[in-house]
Amino acid sequence: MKETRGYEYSTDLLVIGCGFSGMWAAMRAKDFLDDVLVVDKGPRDWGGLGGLSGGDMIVKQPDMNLDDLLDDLVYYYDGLADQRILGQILTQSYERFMDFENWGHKFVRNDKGELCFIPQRALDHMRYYYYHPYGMGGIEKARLLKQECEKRGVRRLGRTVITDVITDGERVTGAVGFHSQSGVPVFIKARAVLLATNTGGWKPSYHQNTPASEGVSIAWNAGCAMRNFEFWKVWNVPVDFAWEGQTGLLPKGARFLNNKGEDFMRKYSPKFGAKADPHYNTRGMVCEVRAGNGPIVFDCSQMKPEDVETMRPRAGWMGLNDKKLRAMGIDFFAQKLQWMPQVRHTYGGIVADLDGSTAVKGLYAAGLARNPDPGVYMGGWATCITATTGYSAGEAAAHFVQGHDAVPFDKALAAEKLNGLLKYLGRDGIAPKDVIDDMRTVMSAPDIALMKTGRGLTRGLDRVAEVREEFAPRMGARDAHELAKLFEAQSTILLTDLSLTAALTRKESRAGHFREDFPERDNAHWLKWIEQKQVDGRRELHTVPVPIDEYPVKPYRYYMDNFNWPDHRHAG
Amino acid sequence: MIQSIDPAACTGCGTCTKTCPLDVFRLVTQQEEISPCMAACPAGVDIRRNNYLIQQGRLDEAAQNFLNFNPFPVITGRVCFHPCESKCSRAKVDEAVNINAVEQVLGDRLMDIPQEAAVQRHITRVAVIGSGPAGLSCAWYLAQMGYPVTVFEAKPFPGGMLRYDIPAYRLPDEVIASQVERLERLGVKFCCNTLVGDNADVSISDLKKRGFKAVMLAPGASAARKVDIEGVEAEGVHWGLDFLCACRSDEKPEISGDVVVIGGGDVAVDAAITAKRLGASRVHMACLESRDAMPAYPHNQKDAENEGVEFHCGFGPARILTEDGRVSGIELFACTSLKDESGRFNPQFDESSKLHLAASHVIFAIGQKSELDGFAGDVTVERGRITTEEVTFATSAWGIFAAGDAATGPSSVVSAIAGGRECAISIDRMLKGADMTGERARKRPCVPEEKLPGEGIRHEPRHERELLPADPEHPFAEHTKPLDMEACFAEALRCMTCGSKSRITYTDDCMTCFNCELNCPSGAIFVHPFKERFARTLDQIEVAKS
Ligand SMILES: Cc1cc2nc3c(=O)[nH]c(=O)nc-3n(C[C@H](O)[C@H](O)[C@H](O)COP(=O)(O)OP(=O)(O)OC[C@H]3O[C@@H](n4cnc5c(N)ncnc54)[C@H](O)[C@@H]3O)c2cc1C
Ligand SMILES: Cc1cc2nc3c(=O)[nH]c(=O)nc-3n(C[C@H](O)[C@H](O)[C@H](O)COP(=O)(O)OP(=O)(O)OC[C@H]3O[C@@H](n4cnc5c(N)ncnc54)[C@H](O)[C@@H]3O)c2cc1C
Ligand code: SF4
Ligand code: SF4
Repeated sequence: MKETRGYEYSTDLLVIGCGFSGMWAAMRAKDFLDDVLVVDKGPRDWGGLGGLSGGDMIVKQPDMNLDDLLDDLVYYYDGLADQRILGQILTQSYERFMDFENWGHKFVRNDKGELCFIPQRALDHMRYYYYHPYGMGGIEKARLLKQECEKRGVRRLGRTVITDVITDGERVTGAVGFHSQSGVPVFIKARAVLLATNTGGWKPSYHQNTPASEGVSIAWNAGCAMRNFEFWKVWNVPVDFAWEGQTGLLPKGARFLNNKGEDFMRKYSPKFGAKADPHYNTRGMVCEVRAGNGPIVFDCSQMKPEDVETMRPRAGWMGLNDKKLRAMGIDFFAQKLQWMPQVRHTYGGIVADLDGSTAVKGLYAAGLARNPDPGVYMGGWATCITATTGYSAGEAAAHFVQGHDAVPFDKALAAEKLNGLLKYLGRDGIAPKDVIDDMRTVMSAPDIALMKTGRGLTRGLDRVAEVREEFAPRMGARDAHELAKLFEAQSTILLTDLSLTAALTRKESRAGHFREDFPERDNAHWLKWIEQKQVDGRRELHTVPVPIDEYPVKPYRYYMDNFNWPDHRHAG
Repeated sequence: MIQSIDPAACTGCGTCTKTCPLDVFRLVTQQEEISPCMAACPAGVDIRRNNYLIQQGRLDEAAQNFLNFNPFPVITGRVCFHPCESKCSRAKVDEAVNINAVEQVLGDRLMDIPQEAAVQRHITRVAVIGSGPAGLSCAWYLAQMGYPVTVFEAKPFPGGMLRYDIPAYRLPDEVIASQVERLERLGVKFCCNTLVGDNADVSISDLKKRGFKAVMLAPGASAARKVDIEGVEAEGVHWGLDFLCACRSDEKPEISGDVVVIGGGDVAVDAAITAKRLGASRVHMACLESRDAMPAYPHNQKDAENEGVEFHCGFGPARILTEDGRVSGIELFACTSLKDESGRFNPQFDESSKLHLAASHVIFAIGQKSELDGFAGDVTVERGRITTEEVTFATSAWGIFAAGDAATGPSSVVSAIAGGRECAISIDRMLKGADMTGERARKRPCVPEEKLPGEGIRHEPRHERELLPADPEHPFAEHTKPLDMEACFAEALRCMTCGSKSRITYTDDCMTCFNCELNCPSGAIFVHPFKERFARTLDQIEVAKS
C-alpha cells in the first residue's frame, strides 16, 4: 500500500550522515541543544565508513610545532594548502585524540610507554597513531562515538535518504527525503542543518559504496560553492579481493613490482620509491604497463617478520578476510598478488568557513563533505578531519541555533522538491545502477582516471551530457531501494560533471592532479582553487587565489618535484 | 561478495537487515512457526511481521495489517496489559520490546486516516448486544465482511468499560469516540439507551422477529461486587465501578482527605490513582494478598507507586468506622491465608492483628460480575457466565454467540476483542452455511526455545513512553506521551523477528564489507572474499609501440 502522509520530524539541529563526522558533530551540538537528530541513509548507528576503517589517526601531539606540520602539508599539497583550516584541524586534533583515549580507546604504545606511530608518505612530521588489534580501530571508535551520542540523548534515525535541504530563500528551515526501504516521504523541520554526508564517489569495487555523491547534490542544489573537484582519489587495490593497510605496509618495506620483479617506483622517485602518495604510484603503474611491464603486483617479501606480524589483520572484517583468503590458498604477505588502481571518490567538497558554516545561512558542513585536500592521501588523516571539523561544526551549528528563532518550514515546497524524485518510484525503466556504472566507466578510462588529458576529459564530459539527456530521464525505480540508487545515479552524473569540468579547467599538474598534456606546475596561473556553484540553475565556475601572503608558510619546495615521468605528450 | 545464508542456522534475528550498509537483505516473516509474542497475544496479532514492516519504514502497512487481528490498536495501545511483552525473547538480551508503545503509534496513525464505508455484501442483519470491546470488535469485523450490523447498548454512549470505567487519563473519551465514529462510517448502527433481554426494552426474540438472523451477546461484567460489613452504608463509602463510572461523567465525586481503597487488582489501582487525582491527600490501598502476590499487573503497581499510593498488603476489611453517618476510618484484620485446602477462595484472618486507617472515603474494588438474568431464558448461563463453545463462541442457542467478560468472566480488553472477532467469523460462516469450526482449532506451533534468537545480540535500551505529571487543571488528561516517530522506529528495530528467515535480496549491491557475516549471531552468512571485478583501469592501457 502507498503511504501518503510521510513521516514528520522536528529538531533543533539536523545532522545528515551518521559517520564519524556526523557523530562528532551531533554529540558536541547536544552539549548545547535540547534536541539533535542524526539521520543516515544506511543503518541506524552504523558509523559510516569510519566503522569499517582502521581508525588510524594523524594527530599533532603537544610537543610538535604547528608550523612544522603545516610546512609538510604545503610541500605535500604543492602549495595548494588551505593553511587556515589545516592549522585548525591540526591544532584541535590532540583534544579529539584525548577524547578517544579518555573514553578508554588506547592507541598503541611501546614498552617504554611511548606512542607508536607510522610516518605518512615520507613526510617528516605527518604520522598516524594506531590501535591494536589491527582491524578493530574503526569498529571501536564507531562504538564509542555511538555510545557518547546515546549517552547525551542524540536522536538517531537510519534508512533515511535526504534529497534536499529546504530554505526560505535565505536560511535553512529543514530537509526532505524518503525512507530508503519504503519510499515514504520524510520531512524534517530544523533550525539548522549540518551536512556530514561525505562527498562520495563512484562506488568502487569494495567499500566506500555508501557515500555515493548524494551530499554533492544536496549542497549543490542548496547553493553551496564546491571546491577541489579536479582532484579524485585513485586507490591501488588488489584485483580480486579487498585489502586495506597499504599506508602502513609501504613504509614498512612493502613495494609494487612490475612483471620483471622491479621495484619500479625507485626509477620514478629514487628518494621515495613506493612510499609516496598512492597517486604517484598509480602514474608509475601506467608507465610500466605502457612499457609492456604489466601486470603490477604487491610484494611484502622485504618486510621484517615482526612487521608482518603487526600488520597481519587479526580481527574485524580485515581479519576475517585474511582468514578466508588463506583458506583459499591466498596468503597476502607470502604471495605476489596482482593490483590495480581504481577511482574511488572525489576530493572535492563544500566550501565552508573555519567553523563549518557554508554560504547558506544555518547550513553547516563537516568531515569529508568539505574535504580540504587537493588529491593526495595520508593514512589517518580522515579520522583527524572528521573528529575536528565534526566537533567544531557541531558546536558552531549549536550556537547558531541558540542565536536564531525557528523559521517556518514550507512543507509544500519540500514535497514539490521531493516529487521530482518520487515520480520515478514504481516506474520501470533504465536501471539506476547502469547509470552509476556508466559514470564509473567514464572515470576509469586511463586518460581520465590516472593520467588526465584534455581529450580524455572532453570525451568524458560528452558522455556525461549524453547520459544526462538520453538515459537519466528514462531511469526507473521499481521499489524504494532502487529509488535510493536512482538518487545516487543522478548525483553521480552531477559529480562526474563537476569533476571533469574542474579537471579540464586546471591546465597544469599539481598534487593529485596530473595532466599528461600539462605535466608542469604553473604557479603563475594556478596557485588557485577552482570553485563551482549553481546560480539561477546554471553552473558558475570561478577561481580563488590561495592567499599565500596571509599564511605562515610560503611554498618553497614541492612534493611533485621528487618524481620524474617519461614525457608522453607526443606519444600515441 | 555476499554469497549465501544457511536457512537452517538463521534464527531470523534480522541483524543483517538492520546492519548491512547497502541494505542487501530482506526478511521473510510469514512462517509456519510463530514467535513467542504472537503466541502470547490473546488476539494473535502478527507482531513479528508488524515490527518488521515498521523496521522497513512501512508504518501504515503495519497498521493496516494490525487491523486483521484487532481493530482498535489505538485502544489496546493504551490499555492492553500486553502479555506479549512478558514472553518477548528480547527480555533475555536486555529488556522486552515495548510492543505496546509501538502499537499505540500504529493506532494513533490510523486515527488520521479517514474511514471509508464498507461495501455491503449481505442482506442478513446481525445484532450485537453490548458495545464494550467485544461488541465493537464483532461489529467491526461483520461490517468489514459486508453485513448490516446494529449494536444495542443499555447506556447512553457506546464503549462499555472503555467508556465508563477505565479512567480517562489512561483512555481519553476522544479515543473511544473516534473509534465509534469509525464504526459508524463503516456503516454500523448504534442503538443506545436500549436494554436488551427479557423484561427489558427489547428481547432477543423481538430482535429475531425484526429480522436479525444472528445475535452476538457482549454484555460484559460491569456490576460491582459488594460486601456487607459494618458501616458500608455510611456516606463516603464507594463501590469501585460505580465510583469510576461517576468519575467519567460531568459530576465527579468530591474527594478530600485520606482515602482507603480495598482491593489489590487493577481496578483498585485505577480507583486509587483516580482518588488521588480528585484531590485526596493520602491514598492507601489494602488487599488480602501479600505484596508479591498482588493481582494488579506490575506496570499498574508501578504507576500507583509513582502517584504516591501507599500499599498495605495482607489485610482485609473488618468494619468501617463512622462519625455522624460519615466514614472516619476503617479497621482491617491481617489475612493469614487466602484459600482453603481445596484451593477455594476462603480468606482467614487473625483478628488480633489489626490495622487502623483514618479515612474520609473508602472505595471497594473487590471484583465485578455480570447481570445476565435477561438472557437466561435464551441461552445457558452457568456460574454467572454465558456458556460458549471454545472455538466458535456459539452459545447453547443456534444463531446466538457470546464473548467478552460475560462469557469468560472479568478478563481484558484484548480478550474481549479477540472473542468479538471470532464471533464475527462464526456468524459469517453460519450465515453462509459453511462449517463453523473448520480449521480454526488448529494452533500454529511456536518457534522452539533453542531456535530463538538472543545470543550475541547487541544491547539496545528500551524506549518508554514519557509519563506526564498530573496537571491540576486537567487531572484526567492523558497521562503518557506516545513514543515519537524516531523512538518508534528504534523500538521496532529492537524486535528480533524470531523465527523469520533472511533472504539475500539485492545481491549485486554488496560491497564486500563483511559486516553481515561478522554481525550474524548464528554464523549463518557466508561472504566470499572476492569482490566485484569492475571497474578496471590498467587493462585499458595499450602497450606503447617502441
Ligand atoms: C576500509 C577503510 C579503511 C579506512 N581506514 C582509515 C584509517 O585507518 N584512518 C583514516 O583516517 N581514514 C580511514 N578511512 C577513511 C575514513 O574512514 C573515512 O573517510 C571517514 O570515516 C569518512 O567520514 P565521514 O563521516 O566524513 O563520512 P562517512 O563515513 O562516509 O559518513 C557519511 C554518512 O552519510 C550518509 N549519507 C550520505 N548521503 C546521505 C544522504 N543523502 N542522506 C542521508 N545520509 C547520507 C552515509 O550513509 C554515511 O553513513 C578508511 C576507509 C575505509 C573504507
Ligand atoms: C476499572 C477497570 C479497568 C480496567 N482496565 C483494563 C486494562 O487496563 N486493560 C484491560 O485489558 N482490561 C481492563 N479492564 C477489563 C476490561 O475493561 C474488560 O475486560 C472489557 O471491557 C470487557 O469487555 P466486554 O465487551 O466483554 O464488556 P464491557 O466492556 O463491560 O461492555 C459491556 C457493555 O454491554 C452493555 N450491556 C450490558 N448488558 C446489556 C444489555 N442487557 N443490553 C444492552 N447493553 C448491555 C454495558 O452497558 C456495556 O456497555 C478493566 C476493567 C475495569 C473495570
Ligand atoms: S540469524 Fe544471521 S542471517 Fe538470520 S536474520 Fe539473523 S543475522 Fe540475518
Ligand atoms: S558484505 Fe557488507 S555490503 Fe555485502 S551483504 Fe554483507 S553487510 Fe551488506
